[in-house]
Amino acid sequence: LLSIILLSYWTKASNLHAQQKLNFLASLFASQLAALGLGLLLLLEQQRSLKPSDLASLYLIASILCDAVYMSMPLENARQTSTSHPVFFRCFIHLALLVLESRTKHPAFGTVGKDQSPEELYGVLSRILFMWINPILLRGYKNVLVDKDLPSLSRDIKPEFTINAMLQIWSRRG
Amino acid sequence: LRKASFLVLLISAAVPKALAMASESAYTVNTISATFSATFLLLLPLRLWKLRGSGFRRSVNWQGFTEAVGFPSLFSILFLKLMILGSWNIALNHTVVILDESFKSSCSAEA
Repeated sequence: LLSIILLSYWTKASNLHAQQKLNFLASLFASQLAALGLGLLLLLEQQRSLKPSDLASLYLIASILCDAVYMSMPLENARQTSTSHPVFFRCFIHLALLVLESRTKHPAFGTVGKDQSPEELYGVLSRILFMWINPILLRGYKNVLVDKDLPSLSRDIKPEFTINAMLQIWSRRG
Repeated sequence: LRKASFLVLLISAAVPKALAMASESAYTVNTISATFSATFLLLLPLRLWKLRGSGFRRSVNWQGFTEAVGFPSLFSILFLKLMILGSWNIALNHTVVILDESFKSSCSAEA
Protein backbone atom coordinates (compact mmCIF):
# COMPACT_ATOMS: atom_id res chain seq x y z
CA LEU A 1 0.00 0.00 0.00
CA LEU A 2 2.84 2.31 0.92
CA SER A 3 4.56 1.42 -2.34
CA ILE A 4 1.43 2.23 -4.36
CA ILE A 5 0.87 5.58 -2.64
CA LEU A 6 4.46 6.71 -2.99
CA LEU A 7 4.82 5.55 -6.58
CA SER A 8 1.62 7.37 -7.57
CA TYR A 9 2.76 10.52 -5.79
CA TRP A 10 6.17 10.47 -7.44
CA THR A 11 4.73 9.88 -10.88
CA LYS A 12 2.41 12.85 -10.50
CA ALA A 13 5.19 15.01 -9.16
CA SER A 14 7.79 14.01 -11.77
CA ASN A 15 8.43 16.00 -14.95
CA LEU A 16 8.67 13.32 -17.62
CA HIS A 17 8.17 13.52 -21.38
CA ALA A 18 4.71 12.45 -22.57
CA GLN A 19 5.86 9.20 -24.23
CA GLN A 20 8.12 8.26 -21.33
CA LYS A 21 5.41 9.12 -18.81
CA LEU A 22 2.89 6.94 -20.66
CA ASN A 23 5.34 4.06 -20.74
CA PHE A 24 6.24 4.50 -17.08
CA LEU A 25 2.55 4.77 -16.12
CA ALA A 26 1.73 1.52 -17.97
CA SER A 27 4.57 -0.24 -16.20
CA LEU A 28 3.45 1.30 -12.91
CA PHE A 29 -0.16 0.23 -13.43
CA ALA A 30 0.90 -3.37 -14.09
CA SER A 31 3.24 -3.23 -11.11
CA GLN A 32 0.50 -1.93 -8.81
CA LEU A 33 -1.97 -4.59 -9.92
CA ALA A 34 0.74 -7.18 -9.39
CA ALA A 35 1.46 -5.69 -5.94
CA LEU A 36 -2.18 -6.14 -4.94
CA GLY A 37 -2.14 -9.71 -6.27
CA LEU A 38 1.14 -10.36 -4.50
CA GLY A 39 -0.33 -9.20 -1.18
CA LEU A 40 -3.31 -11.51 -1.58
CA LEU A 41 -1.11 -14.41 -2.64
CA LEU A 42 1.30 -13.99 0.28
CA LEU A 43 -1.59 -13.84 2.76
CA LEU A 44 -3.15 -17.02 1.39
CA GLU A 45 0.22 -18.76 1.19
CA GLN A 46 0.82 -17.93 4.86
CA GLN A 47 -2.54 -19.38 5.83
CA ARG A 48 -2.79 -22.39 3.56
CA SER A 49 0.67 -23.55 2.58
CA LEU A 50 3.60 -25.05 4.44
CA LYS A 51 6.27 -23.82 2.04
CA PRO A 52 7.27 -20.40 0.68
CA SER A 53 5.56 -19.39 -2.53
CA ASP A 54 7.54 -20.21 -5.68
CA LEU A 55 5.41 -17.95 -7.86
CA ALA A 56 5.88 -14.96 -5.54
CA SER A 57 9.62 -15.61 -5.22
CA LEU A 58 10.13 -15.84 -8.99
CA TYR A 59 8.08 -12.68 -9.61
CA LEU A 60 10.00 -10.80 -6.93
CA ILE A 61 13.37 -11.91 -8.38
CA ALA A 62 12.35 -10.89 -11.91
CA SER A 63 11.06 -7.54 -10.70
CA ILE A 64 14.19 -6.85 -8.62
CA LEU A 65 16.44 -7.68 -11.59
CA CYS A 66 14.45 -5.39 -13.91
CA ASP A 67 14.60 -2.57 -11.39
CA ALA A 68 18.31 -3.12 -10.81
CA VAL A 69 18.98 -2.96 -14.57
CA TYR A 70 16.82 0.17 -14.85
CA MET A 71 18.72 1.87 -12.07
CA SER A 72 22.13 0.82 -13.40
CA MET A 73 21.57 2.45 -16.81
CA PRO A 74 23.40 5.69 -17.62
CA LEU A 75 21.24 8.64 -16.61
CA GLU A 76 21.79 10.72 -19.75
CA ASN A 77 20.63 7.90 -22.04
CA ALA A 78 17.66 6.76 -20.02
CA ARG A 79 16.44 10.12 -18.70
CA GLN A 80 15.11 8.26 -15.73
CA THR A 81 16.37 10.59 -13.01
CA SER A 82 12.85 11.50 -11.89
CA THR A 83 11.75 7.86 -11.75
CA SER A 84 14.85 6.39 -10.15
CA HIS A 85 13.66 7.08 -6.59
CA PRO A 86 10.33 5.24 -6.89
CA VAL A 87 11.98 2.37 -8.74
CA PHE A 88 14.66 2.14 -6.06
CA PHE A 89 11.94 2.15 -3.42
CA ARG A 90 10.02 -0.61 -5.20
CA CYS A 91 13.20 -2.65 -5.57
CA PHE A 92 13.94 -2.22 -1.88
CA ILE A 93 10.46 -3.32 -0.81
CA HIS A 94 10.58 -6.31 -3.16
CA LEU A 95 13.99 -7.30 -1.82
CA ALA A 96 12.70 -7.16 1.77
CA LEU A 97 9.66 -9.25 0.79
CA LEU A 98 11.87 -11.78 -1.02
CA VAL A 99 14.11 -12.19 2.03
CA LEU A 100 11.08 -12.67 4.29
CA GLU A 101 9.33 -15.02 1.87
CA SER A 102 12.44 -17.14 1.31
CA ARG A 103 12.65 -17.97 5.00
CA THR A 104 11.33 -21.38 5.85
CA LYS A 105 7.96 -21.48 7.58
CA HIS A 106 8.03 -24.89 9.20
CA PRO A 107 9.46 -23.86 12.64
CA ALA A 108 6.35 -21.70 13.07
CA PHE A 109 4.08 -24.68 12.44
CA GLY A 110 5.22 -26.72 15.43
CA THR A 111 4.67 -30.40 14.82
CA VAL A 112 2.91 -29.89 11.48
CA GLY A 113 5.18 -30.77 8.59
CA LYS A 114 7.75 -32.56 10.75
CA ASP A 115 7.36 -35.75 8.72
CA GLN A 116 7.98 -33.95 5.43
CA SER A 117 11.29 -33.64 3.69
CA PRO A 118 13.11 -30.27 3.84
CA GLU A 119 13.05 -30.13 0.04
CA GLU A 120 9.26 -30.03 0.17
CA LEU A 121 9.18 -27.33 2.83
CA TYR A 122 11.72 -24.87 1.43
CA GLY A 123 11.17 -22.37 -1.38
CA VAL A 124 12.47 -22.32 -4.91
CA LEU A 125 15.59 -20.31 -4.08
CA SER A 126 16.59 -22.70 -1.30
CA ARG A 127 16.06 -25.67 -3.60
CA ILE A 128 18.11 -24.18 -6.45
CA LEU A 129 20.97 -23.12 -4.17
CA PHE A 130 20.67 -26.23 -1.91
CA MET A 131 20.26 -23.97 1.13
CA TRP A 132 17.86 -26.47 2.71
CA ILE A 133 20.83 -28.66 3.60
CA ASN A 134 22.54 -25.93 5.68
CA PRO A 135 20.72 -26.68 9.00
CA ILE A 136 21.71 -30.36 8.73
CA LEU A 137 25.32 -29.44 7.96
CA LEU A 138 25.34 -26.99 10.89
CA ARG A 139 23.94 -29.67 13.20
CA GLY A 140 26.59 -32.06 11.93
CA TYR A 141 29.29 -29.47 12.57
CA LYS A 142 28.18 -28.95 16.17
CA ASN A 143 27.38 -32.57 17.09
CA VAL A 144 27.71 -36.04 15.68
CA LEU A 145 24.67 -36.75 13.52
CA VAL A 146 22.47 -39.61 14.67
CA ASP A 147 19.45 -41.22 13.00
CA LYS A 148 16.91 -38.85 14.51
CA ASP A 149 18.83 -35.79 13.23
CA LEU A 150 18.37 -36.85 9.64
CA PRO A 151 15.30 -35.43 7.89
CA SER A 152 12.53 -37.41 6.24
CA LEU A 153 12.81 -38.38 2.60
CA SER A 154 10.64 -36.69 0.03
CA ARG A 155 7.54 -38.59 -1.10
CA ASP A 156 8.90 -39.70 -4.49
CA ILE A 157 11.98 -41.40 -3.06
CA LYS A 158 10.38 -43.04 0.00
CA PRO A 159 10.69 -46.88 0.06
CA GLU A 160 6.88 -47.31 -0.03
CA PHE A 161 6.79 -45.46 -3.33
CA THR A 162 9.98 -46.83 -4.89
CA ILE A 163 9.18 -50.46 -4.09
CA ASN A 164 5.84 -50.19 -5.90
CA ALA A 165 7.51 -48.56 -8.90
CA MET A 166 10.17 -51.25 -8.92
CA LEU A 167 7.60 -54.06 -8.68
CA GLN A 168 5.59 -52.57 -11.56
CA ILE A 169 8.67 -52.44 -13.78
CA TRP A 170 9.64 -55.97 -12.69
CA SER A 171 6.19 -57.34 -13.55
CA ARG A 172 6.32 -55.60 -16.96
CA ARG A 173 9.58 -57.44 -17.66
CA GLY A 174 8.01 -60.80 -16.86
CA LEU B 1 10.52 -27.39 -11.62
CA ARG B 2 14.11 -26.74 -10.60
CA LYS B 3 15.31 -26.58 -14.21
CA ALA B 4 12.39 -24.35 -15.24
CA SER B 5 13.00 -22.03 -12.29
CA PHE B 6 16.68 -21.84 -13.10
CA LEU B 7 15.82 -21.02 -16.72
CA VAL B 8 13.43 -18.27 -15.61
CA LEU B 9 16.15 -16.84 -13.37
CA LEU B 10 18.66 -16.89 -16.22
CA ILE B 11 16.23 -15.23 -18.62
CA SER B 12 15.28 -12.67 -15.98
CA ALA B 13 18.92 -11.82 -15.51
CA ALA B 14 20.11 -11.89 -19.10
CA VAL B 15 17.28 -10.50 -21.22
CA PRO B 16 16.76 -7.13 -19.50
CA LYS B 17 20.50 -6.50 -19.39
CA ALA B 18 20.94 -7.39 -23.07
CA LEU B 19 17.99 -5.28 -24.17
CA ALA B 20 19.06 -2.43 -21.93
CA MET B 21 21.96 -1.92 -24.31
CA ALA B 22 19.51 -0.95 -27.05
CA SER B 23 18.80 2.70 -27.79
CA GLU B 24 15.34 2.85 -26.15
CA SER B 25 16.66 1.15 -23.05
CA ALA B 26 14.41 2.65 -20.37
CA TYR B 27 11.37 1.94 -22.52
CA THR B 28 12.53 -1.66 -23.03
CA VAL B 29 13.16 -2.34 -19.36
CA ASN B 30 9.79 -0.84 -18.40
CA THR B 31 8.13 -3.05 -21.00
CA ILE B 32 9.91 -6.15 -19.71
CA SER B 33 8.97 -5.26 -16.14
CA ALA B 34 5.33 -4.82 -17.19
CA THR B 35 5.50 -8.17 -19.04
CA PHE B 36 6.72 -9.93 -15.89
CA SER B 37 3.90 -8.29 -13.89
CA ALA B 38 1.33 -9.36 -16.52
CA THR B 39 2.69 -12.94 -16.53
CA PHE B 40 2.49 -13.00 -12.75
CA LEU B 41 -1.11 -11.75 -12.88
CA LEU B 42 -1.98 -14.44 -15.43
CA LEU B 43 -0.50 -17.22 -13.29
CA LEU B 44 -1.91 -15.83 -10.05
CA PRO B 45 -5.51 -17.16 -10.42
CA LEU B 46 -4.19 -20.70 -10.99
CA ARG B 47 -2.19 -20.62 -7.78
CA LEU B 48 -5.03 -19.00 -5.83
CA TRP B 49 -7.39 -21.69 -7.09
CA LYS B 50 -4.95 -24.37 -5.96
CA LEU B 51 -4.58 -22.75 -2.54
CA ARG B 52 -8.35 -22.48 -2.23
CA GLY B 53 -8.59 -26.25 -2.47
CA SER B 54 -5.82 -26.83 0.04
CA GLY B 55 -6.89 -28.83 3.09
CA PHE B 56 -4.39 -27.09 5.31
CA ARG B 57 -5.61 -24.11 7.34
CA ARG B 58 -3.76 -21.94 9.78
CA SER B 59 -4.72 -18.83 11.72
CA VAL B 60 -2.65 -15.70 11.23
CA ASN B 61 0.67 -15.88 13.06
CA TRP B 62 1.03 -12.48 14.71
CA GLN B 63 4.78 -12.81 15.08
CA GLY B 64 5.15 -13.50 11.37
CA PHE B 65 2.66 -10.74 10.57
CA THR B 66 4.63 -8.26 12.67
CA GLU B 67 7.85 -9.30 10.92
CA ALA B 68 6.26 -9.11 7.48
CA VAL B 69 4.77 -5.66 8.11
CA GLY B 70 7.35 -4.30 10.52
CA PHE B 71 10.54 -4.93 8.57
CA PRO B 72 9.41 -3.43 5.24
CA SER B 73 7.90 -0.46 7.15
CA LEU B 74 11.15 0.06 9.03
CA PHE B 75 13.11 -0.18 5.77
CA SER B 76 10.69 2.29 4.17
CA ILE B 77 11.08 4.78 7.00
CA LEU B 78 14.87 4.46 6.86
CA PHE B 79 14.76 4.80 3.08
CA LEU B 80 12.63 7.95 3.31
CA LYS B 81 14.84 9.36 6.02
CA LEU B 82 18.11 8.65 4.24
CA MET B 83 17.27 9.06 0.57
CA ILE B 84 14.40 11.49 0.26
CA LEU B 85 15.01 13.84 3.16
CA GLY B 86 18.73 13.70 2.38
CA SER B 87 18.16 14.65 -1.26
CA TRP B 88 15.75 17.43 -0.18
CA ASN B 89 18.42 18.82 2.14
CA ILE B 90 20.98 18.72 -0.68
CA ALA B 91 18.52 20.45 -3.03
CA LEU B 92 17.77 23.07 -0.37
CA ASN B 93 21.48 23.71 0.23
CA HIS B 94 22.01 23.98 -3.52
CA THR B 95 19.18 26.53 -3.78
CA VAL B 96 20.62 28.56 -0.90
CA VAL B 97 24.05 28.59 -2.57
CA ILE B 98 22.56 29.71 -5.90
CA LEU B 99 20.53 32.45 -4.18
CA ASP B 100 23.60 33.57 -2.27
CA GLU B 101 25.69 33.73 -5.44
CA SER B 102 23.00 35.64 -7.35
CA PHE B 103 22.67 38.08 -4.42
CA LYS B 104 26.44 38.64 -4.38
CA SER B 105 26.58 39.14 -8.15
CA SER B 106 23.68 41.62 -8.03
CA CYS B 107 25.42 43.53 -5.21
CA SER B 108 28.69 43.67 -7.16
CA ALA B 109 26.80 44.82 -10.29
CA GLU B 110 25.14 47.61 -8.33
CA ALA B 111 28.48 48.67 -6.86
